[in-house]
Amino acid sequence: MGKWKTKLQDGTINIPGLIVKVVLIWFIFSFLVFPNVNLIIRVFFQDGHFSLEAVENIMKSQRAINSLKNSFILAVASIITVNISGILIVLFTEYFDIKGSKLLSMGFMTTLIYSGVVLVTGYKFVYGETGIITKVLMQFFPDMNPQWFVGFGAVLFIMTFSGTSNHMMFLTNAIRGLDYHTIEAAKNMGASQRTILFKIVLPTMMPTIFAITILTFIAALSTMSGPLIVGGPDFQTINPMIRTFANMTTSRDIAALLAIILGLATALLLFVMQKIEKKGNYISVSKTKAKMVKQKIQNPVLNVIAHIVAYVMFIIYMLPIINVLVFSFTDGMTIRTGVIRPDSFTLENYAKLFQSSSAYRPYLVSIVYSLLAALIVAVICIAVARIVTKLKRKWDKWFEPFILIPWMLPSTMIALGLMMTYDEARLNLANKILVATPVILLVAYVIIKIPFSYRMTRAAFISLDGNMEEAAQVMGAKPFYTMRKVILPVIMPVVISVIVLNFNSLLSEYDLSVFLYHPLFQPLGIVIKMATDETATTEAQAMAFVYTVVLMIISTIALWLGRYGGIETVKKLFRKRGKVS
Amino acid sequence: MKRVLAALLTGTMLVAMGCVAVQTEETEEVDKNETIVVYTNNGGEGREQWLVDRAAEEGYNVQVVHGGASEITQRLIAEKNNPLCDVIFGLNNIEYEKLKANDLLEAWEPNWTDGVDESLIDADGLYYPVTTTPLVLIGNAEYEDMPSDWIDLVDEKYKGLYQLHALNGGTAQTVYASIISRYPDPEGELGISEEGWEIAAAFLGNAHNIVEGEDSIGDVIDGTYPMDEHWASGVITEQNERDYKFQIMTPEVGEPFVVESVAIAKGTEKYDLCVDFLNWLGSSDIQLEWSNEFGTIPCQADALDNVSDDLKELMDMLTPQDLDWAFIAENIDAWVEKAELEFIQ
Repeated sequence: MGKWKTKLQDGTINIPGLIVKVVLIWFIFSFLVFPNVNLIIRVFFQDGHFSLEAVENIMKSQRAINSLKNSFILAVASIITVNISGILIVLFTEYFDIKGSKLLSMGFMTTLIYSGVVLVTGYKFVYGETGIITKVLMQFFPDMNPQWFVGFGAVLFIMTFSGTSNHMMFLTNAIRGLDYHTIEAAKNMGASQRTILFKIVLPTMMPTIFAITILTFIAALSTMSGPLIVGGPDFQTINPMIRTFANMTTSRDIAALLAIILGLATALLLFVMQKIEKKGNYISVSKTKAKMVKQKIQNPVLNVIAHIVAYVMFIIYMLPIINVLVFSFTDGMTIRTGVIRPDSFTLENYAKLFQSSSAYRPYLVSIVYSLLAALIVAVICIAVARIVTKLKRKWDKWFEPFILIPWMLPSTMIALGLMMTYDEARLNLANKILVATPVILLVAYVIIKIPFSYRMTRAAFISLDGNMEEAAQVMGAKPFYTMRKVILPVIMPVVISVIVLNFNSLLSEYDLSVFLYHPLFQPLGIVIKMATDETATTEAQAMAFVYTVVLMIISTIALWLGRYGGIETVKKLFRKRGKVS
Repeated sequence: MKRVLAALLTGTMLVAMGCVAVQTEETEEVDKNETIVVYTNNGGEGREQWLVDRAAEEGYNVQVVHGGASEITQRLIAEKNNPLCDVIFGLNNIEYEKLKANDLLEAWEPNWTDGVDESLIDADGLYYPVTTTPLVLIGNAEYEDMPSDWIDLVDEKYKGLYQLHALNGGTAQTVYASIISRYPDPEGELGISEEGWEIAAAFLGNAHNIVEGEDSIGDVIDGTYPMDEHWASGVITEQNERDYKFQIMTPEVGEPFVVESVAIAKGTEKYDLCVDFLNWLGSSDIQLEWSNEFGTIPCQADALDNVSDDLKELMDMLTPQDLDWAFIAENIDAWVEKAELEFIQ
């Protein structure tokens, strides 16, 4: 007893910290471990005995094996290409002095505000049979196949230029956080621009690049729309198959097994990345950071090349989104056929959007759900990242694998796990039934966003300068005070980026929502799907574009508020008004 | 920043608690003006709004939950211990048989069974038909080699010329089931004979699989893929929209008719209100209105007599294929699994 007392007094045991850990353990057990383990057990123990029939079924299936292979090929290839394009766009907009970088930056940001089927269709409009690029190419090469934009190359192309959202968000933060003193010092010592870039700038961005690489890998492994729409018969990937099987009661073992194979690959990559990360030292050592100054490329030839590459990329980024915008003002037939006629244009799609009196409600529901989920996720991830990067006990590091569990399973399976587990009263939830309440969807949204958010938050913690924290502690600051006053302000840009990205991607979420939403709180994803069902008429496809444009507007506002001082601007506006009145 | 965060967190808690509160209130309510929660796969294209508004005119307070047919079934099964649903509207026999097997339906009897083909009614009196959707193969008007039955498509000469929808959807599943269930064999794999599987492999393997964003109807018209499996109501809509007339295959055995029914969910606390509501919804007047609005084919004889001429003409051509729905419902998932793994290219 006396031992405990002294430990409490000297701060070895810290009560608030302990409470946080207990709450986290409860959360991890109740929502990340229990439902998913329960699902896996039920899936593999059908009719009371364990069965690995799924393994046999998959081995027998040429299609499954090919799709798996394609998924891995795509994932590995896109790690390389997405990193190249992602690092380039960030260097062009933040590091090098390129003319018109504000405009470029806006173009490169477009991937943050639209995705999925509409994005891929946008690319198809540009490069497909009736697309503008194809038509231009046909002028020069009349013999070429107009359906050239098909297969692995097409899918990888789309991935390369649409998968750079994370670079734009997090790598930009990393560059802005660079200490300019180090660059100046190197310059004074006669280092070339090339040396500075490869020996100073890129190495300090490594933790972020590692994190983004993992995200890219996962995104490519689980991509749906790209291969489905432009993959053609020769390049189909595994995720559509997983989704089909996850939706069929008796085939879930196959879905689970396939998902676990992808999950294991992800885990392997995570492990390797962590090992590499441990070897290096990526902390910038300066105490008084100087603001970055953009670098003019001294070699004139390289400078011109850089400008050309930047603007070509800008055009690649802009063409699909412009197409989406234009097509949202055309009738369904135009979208289906991809050919614009003189009488194509109409405002009817937009009029339809608000035809019913309660049309605004799903927007409200989704905004509330997404915002709540994004905030809760941020809090959880900060807590876990803090514990893991600042190991006090040996077992603290075990938070990490558990918090990454949702990466192992597709969202349909996560929804099913929750449904099958909390459809009866459970002790760990105070005997409440979670199914058929509005809370379950919030829980699900939080679950699926945790691994991504954790990985990014962790990267921010790793590149954190430990000395500042030490200084605060030496001056007698309590851990929570240090957290609030010293650590949080430094990692805030990353946290805000995570919140904005999560918010935007949850706005139109469908896979989880369809199983879990409460009839009184219908989220936007359901409404969109309803309006754009495959069995719906041609008009419905036009609606998909209109909804995307509306989502783009909401996402842009969220981005502006979160990242571009929107909140400050709004505050100033109100302050001014207050003074006037 | 601290205050903002604190405020946001408090807000989070309040809303979360509010959500729980809303939930408990609902179950305690015993008002006569109660909400009827309708689970349906018929929510798209303004159907949900139409249903809510039209029901409100009659004084019903309707709340709609929409999803794909199989998703609605999954939900109902999951919500067994905490049912939200009162009434099920739509869903085909395959899904209803699954619900029946899970004991999720309440027996009842509507007052409009007189106008409905008796053979379509569930023997246990759990679900009753309202609309029917024949599934057909349509072809380009000039296409000369139109097959006379689905199984003719296994011929090599049709390879890559006909389009099938993804097998996770109702249309493709039903057509596929209607083909292989012609070859039952209690000894065979999954209840199907060797011959049946050979036909399935060729039928699915030779097809062009439609992907999202593809204009399958346009491809039929311009001849890229001159044939396409389609639902009858959609055929008429597309014909009117594109000012075109398709060839329609009429096999001797008939076409698979997907019948959509209405039912009452077990566990509803408003049984009488549900019966009353479904008596209204299934009545021939309302079914005719629904048909005029959305081009569905009503099961009610009175309503069917008054549908549009296009629809009548089409219906005169088609006859329902005799299918063993219980057999199909029991095996369809396994059949689809096999097809997805082994047959689809």
